[in-house]
Amino acid sequence: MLGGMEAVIQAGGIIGERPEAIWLALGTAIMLLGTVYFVAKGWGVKDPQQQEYFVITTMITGIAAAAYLSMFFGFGLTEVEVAGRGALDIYWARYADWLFTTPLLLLDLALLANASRIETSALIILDGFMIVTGLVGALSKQMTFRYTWWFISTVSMILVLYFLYSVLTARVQEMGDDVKGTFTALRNLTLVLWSLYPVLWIVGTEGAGIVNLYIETLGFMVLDVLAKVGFGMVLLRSRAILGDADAPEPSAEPAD
Amino acid sequence: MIDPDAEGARIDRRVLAGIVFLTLAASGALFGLPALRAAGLSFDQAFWMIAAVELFAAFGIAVLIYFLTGD
Repeated sequence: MLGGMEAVIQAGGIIGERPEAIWLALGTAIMLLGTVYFVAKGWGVKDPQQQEYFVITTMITGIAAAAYLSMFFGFGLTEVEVAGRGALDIYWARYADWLFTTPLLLLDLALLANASRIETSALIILDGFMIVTGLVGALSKQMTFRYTWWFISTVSMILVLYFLYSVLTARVQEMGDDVKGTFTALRNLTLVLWSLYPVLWIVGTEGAGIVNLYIETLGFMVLDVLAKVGFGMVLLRSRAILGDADAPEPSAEPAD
Repeated sequence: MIDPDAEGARIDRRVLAGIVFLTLAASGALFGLPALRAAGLSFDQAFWMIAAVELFAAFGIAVLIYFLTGD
């Protein structure tokens, strides 16, 4: 009881020092809830192919929960002295989170679309390049370099999204309506949400500084929750994964 | 519904185990900064050590997927 009170007081202290930590705490809680939900839902699954989706999707929210917790405690935070802007708070653990979660999200989509090894690997390598160049941008000390790396990372993201829209979409055209519908819903969710990340970066404190850290952290938390927990909910409740008998809701109709 | 007989992108059990292990290692490394600082490392040294673990784990996952995903 006393330990619980101490933890609450400590958490209050962290939020007092860094107000944006409230969104990191909320992000941790939602990612943890998502992880527990996916574990519970996949617990009795026997089919090896279904298990793959449950394990991968559970890891996505699991590592995101760990990253959010490390940012809440301040372990995943550093300061970068940027010319003309002073010291910027950079939550670098965000990039570590994305370095693992975005390839796993793409792996889910690639498995759903029956993508080949080469297609899956190309997608994941491009995605890794996108995240690493984003991190280099975040740690750069000159605004010109920061914007240049942001541009390179954003171009990589556009290529990843184009790959999803063209190559993987072509793959699912030959598959059943359930898979096609689920893939289309997840692909569209990914296209929309991922497109918002570079926008938030460029207007946020790491870019032009139009939006403050409090709003920026809230924005990234909402995007992360939708792109990971929302993605998992759609995937793991779909008929494409569960079949007709177990799916609580009809999968989305295929629509391009 | 997944067709269990369908051919295509499937991942080996070892890949899944490897991905889980590397993901757990990467998650754990996120909390390693205070311990490394306490061991006498500067922030930059501790940061780059953790970054190396994260990149190694990410590279490992990419390699596992490439070599063990069946066509």
